[in-house]
Amino acid sequence: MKEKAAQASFPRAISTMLGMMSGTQATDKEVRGMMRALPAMSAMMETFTLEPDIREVALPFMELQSSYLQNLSNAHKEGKKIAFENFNFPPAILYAMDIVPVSPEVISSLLSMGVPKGIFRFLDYTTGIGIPESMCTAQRGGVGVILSGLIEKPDMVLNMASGSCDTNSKMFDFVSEYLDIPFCNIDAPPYWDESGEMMRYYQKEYRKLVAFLEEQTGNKLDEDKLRQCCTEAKKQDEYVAELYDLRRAVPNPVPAIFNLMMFGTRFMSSGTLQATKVMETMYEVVKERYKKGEGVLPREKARASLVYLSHFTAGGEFWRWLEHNGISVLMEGLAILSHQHYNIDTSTVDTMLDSLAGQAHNMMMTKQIRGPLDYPGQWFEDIATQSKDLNIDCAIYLGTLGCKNTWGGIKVLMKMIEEELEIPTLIIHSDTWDDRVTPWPTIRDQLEEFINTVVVQ
Amino acid sequence: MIVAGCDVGSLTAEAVIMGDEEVLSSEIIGVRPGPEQSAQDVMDKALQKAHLALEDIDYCISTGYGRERIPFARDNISEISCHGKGAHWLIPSVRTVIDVGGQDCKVIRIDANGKLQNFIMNDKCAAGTGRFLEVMAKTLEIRLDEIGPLSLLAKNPVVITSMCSIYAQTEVAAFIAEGVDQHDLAAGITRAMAERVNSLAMRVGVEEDVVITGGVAKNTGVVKSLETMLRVNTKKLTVDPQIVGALGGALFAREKILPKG
Amino acid sequence: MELMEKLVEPAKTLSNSYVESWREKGGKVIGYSGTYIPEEIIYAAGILPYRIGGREATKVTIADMYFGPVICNFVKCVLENAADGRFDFLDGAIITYECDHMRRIFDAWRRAAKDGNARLPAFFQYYGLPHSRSEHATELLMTETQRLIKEMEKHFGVEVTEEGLRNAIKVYNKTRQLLRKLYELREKDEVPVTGTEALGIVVTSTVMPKDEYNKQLEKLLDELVKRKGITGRPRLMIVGSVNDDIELVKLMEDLGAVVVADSLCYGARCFWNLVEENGDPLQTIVTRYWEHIPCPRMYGEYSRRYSFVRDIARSGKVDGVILENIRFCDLHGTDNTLYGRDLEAEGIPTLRLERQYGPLADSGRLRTRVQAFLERIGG
Repeated sequence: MKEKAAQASFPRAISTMLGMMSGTQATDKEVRGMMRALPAMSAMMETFTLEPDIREVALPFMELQSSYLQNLSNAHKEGKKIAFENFNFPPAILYAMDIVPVSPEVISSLLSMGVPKGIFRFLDYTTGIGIPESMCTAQRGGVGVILSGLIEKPDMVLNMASGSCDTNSKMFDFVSEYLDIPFCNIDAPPYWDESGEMMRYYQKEYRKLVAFLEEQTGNKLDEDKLRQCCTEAKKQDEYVAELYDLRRAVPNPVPAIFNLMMFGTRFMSSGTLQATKVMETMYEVVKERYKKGEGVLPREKARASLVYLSHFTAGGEFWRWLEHNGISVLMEGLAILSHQHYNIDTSTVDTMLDSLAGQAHNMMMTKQIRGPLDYPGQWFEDIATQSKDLNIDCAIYLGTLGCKNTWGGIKVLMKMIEEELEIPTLIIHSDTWDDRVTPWPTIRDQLEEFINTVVVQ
Repeated sequence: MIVAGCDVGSLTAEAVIMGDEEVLSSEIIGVRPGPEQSAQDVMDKALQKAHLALEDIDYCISTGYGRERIPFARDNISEISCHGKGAHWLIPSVRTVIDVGGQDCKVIRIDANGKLQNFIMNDKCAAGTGRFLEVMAKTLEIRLDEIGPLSLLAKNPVVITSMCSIYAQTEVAAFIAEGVDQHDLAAGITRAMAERVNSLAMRVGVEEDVVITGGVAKNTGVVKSLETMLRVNTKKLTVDPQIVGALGGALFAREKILPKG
Repeated sequence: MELMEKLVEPAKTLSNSYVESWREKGGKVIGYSGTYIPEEIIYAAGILPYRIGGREATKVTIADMYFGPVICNFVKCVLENAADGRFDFLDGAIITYECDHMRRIFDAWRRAAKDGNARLPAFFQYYGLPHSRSEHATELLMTETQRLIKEMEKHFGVEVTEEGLRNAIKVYNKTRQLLRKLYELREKDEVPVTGTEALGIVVTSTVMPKDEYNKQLEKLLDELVKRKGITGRPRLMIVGSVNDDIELVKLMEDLGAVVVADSLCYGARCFWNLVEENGDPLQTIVTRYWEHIPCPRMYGEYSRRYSFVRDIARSGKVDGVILENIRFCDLHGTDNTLYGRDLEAEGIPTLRLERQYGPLADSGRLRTRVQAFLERIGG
């Protein structure tokens, strides 16, 4: 793999760029748009491709992203339905039924990182049509893109993470009403349990989803396709589990941005071959780093838990900065792993649907912030378990102004962490997708001060 | 028949005295401590200009932030309706009034008769109000009225991303330290301002003809930026845009005493 | 009007003379949040159900220690009230998962108590709610309710019997029917009761023993039928976020309007639906609460909510609808956008009012907007 990187050459680089520029039937307007976007995009490309280890995983990841967007723009031409769905829902079932997913958060994230002024225009668009400014930017960006017609109107709205927060679900409710599209609500129950009443409730709800999808597409669920997707999803989970164990090492061999690529992969393409490729590559790269004792540069001085989100603007500078300032990210909210709470059983259609429901039931946010902070399997317990497993020495909160659920509980949570885990905590008032709230340099300064004066002994 | 309108805002107070068909006098002052005082002072000045006494006024309507506390006003009407009314009298083809004042911003939709159809206000956040420009002018160490002309000569307007005036200050300060040209800074500022106003305007929709009132209407840079974003050519007032509210008040006063039918 | 005053006065404070005399006689009080907790089960246990409100709070400094900057001020005021000792009369409290803001009261109140900043009622429970209706959702809710009952029985040494529940249903349905009568009076061309009074009457229904309340309201209704009504004023309807503060309605009516209808949770939505009196009482109680006119927390049910709003607007012959939401209330704020679109399309003028609840309430801003709206619909 390292040899491949060494073979990169000038002609190849230019032809790759030209390939990008020519695209398939790019219009004048599109090309001009690309030109304007290049400076911001190049910042994002730097983040993903300058370091060899990161590039190795980023290449299949970017292919995956590219497919995601290609599928979206070709969906209707190919007679497929587009489903507007939550980011933190594993879409294996959709791929099994040939439905093309679009998640507003994915769109928001791509644009936030890669284009000038990120999603500002689209945020303003949504407030212009009357969506409260206090709604989460994660959805508002993507929703603004869809409502302004830059992405084709979806054929259905699937709300499947209704335990995690009101704001997310309400946006989905709104989009279905506003665009007059069929709506399917899969309800996560008010409490979490591993295998009991709550799990069964969600499994029943999951069957509602399947019935809805069959009705919308006019196709019956294909057992073989489902098995294929479940098999891949299982492999992906296994890599996730392996990576979890590798994180225990000092220094942590998993670069922070791999978290993004891991959850990005799961959110966009869980159950596909491409997703397995990303996870497999990631695992191989991390294993190598582990063998060589490689971690953040110059050396690991903090092992941080980002209890919730990270920061998706400024071309991904957030991750580059962490990587070069000795801050290792052991745990990230969106990558909180709960693989131990379910098992993908590919025996029959029923077991497969139940397992996929189990996976969804245990996805980040849907699992952790569904109930009171200190209840079984909720936010505090997950952070505590992983803090101990991974030897974490500080907890940091980065969120969005739209997140009422976490802002309602974070101060209490941090007190619990300080008292019971005895590690220092930091709450930053910022918005993961909107630098107009707090600019990235200010966030960076706060992080720097915290790490250097509070965390480092 | 002599009527008057008195607009007491949080920064300025205006008075307009009208006869049967024409404006007899108008006055603008900075507010005094207390709306009653502001109203009295501005009215006195306007009366003086018109060579009239308070007793000569048949009906006075007050408007603005302090409207409920003006003793010589017979009635009070919201500044929203008054702005719509006043703008419509000045330019009958107007259907959208964008009032950008010192501390708030309103977008007002009126019908062919100048009657209020819909409106939206921002009076909580400095962004999109004159206050933002004030803060920026200080940061650039120029006069408020210099921002507009400077911005029109920009070659490479900067992009100010911060919504909050406080962070915007930091951003601009950083640009200044980098040696960015003043014209480009001014253009970035007027553009940021226009974006906020535009965002508000979208909420109620914009129908032509459009007129911009309030103190910020005097800032050519903001006006131009806004026109580009809204894709309209706004109508320009021939009177001071700050008196439109008081003018509306006077017009409503006239309606009160005109014989019906 | 002495009867009216008696029924409105308790709405202005948190505790009141009824609560005090109940406690003096050794009675217990359990506070609850929102409209989804089945009050009847508390009543059947011989305990006074008391709806927790945000009024009386004059600051939110303690609440700000526990809640972030984007949390609903009503919720902050609730915690502040607890911190200031104004809920010390509660022997218990049940916090529902009605919305993201409200549910975190469960975490914040416990923590505030741990820090010595508030007194936690000895009986403190969380009542989890699903988000969409189905057979298994009702089952889940039955289980959750049965759990709550068991905890209550254990802690207070009481028993909730089928008999007790049936009786509770009768009393509570009576309250609902009386309030429906009150709201019918508000639909008349000559309105015998102001919106301010009506809100006061509804709020009071949540903070005093229902038996006594029913008696008083019945008497008042007899008087109101004969009272001279208000005419010649613009008729308004209020839709939106929680409001237990009668000053908000007074502000609107002082500007020359009369509020004749609402779709609020201290309002029509909390009493409109009756409990079915035939069948297993716990089942019918839970069903009624689960299926009552929904709060925007119930996803996929906008058309149900809208039909109610539109029908009430029509039967009230309202001239305009005020769509208010507390700042940061995404559930109502988003719904209001849809209501605005649909009501205006049917020719019913609307005003969007984003406001702050409680201390530092922005009355100047509100007055300007409402006045302008009245000028718009005035003709």
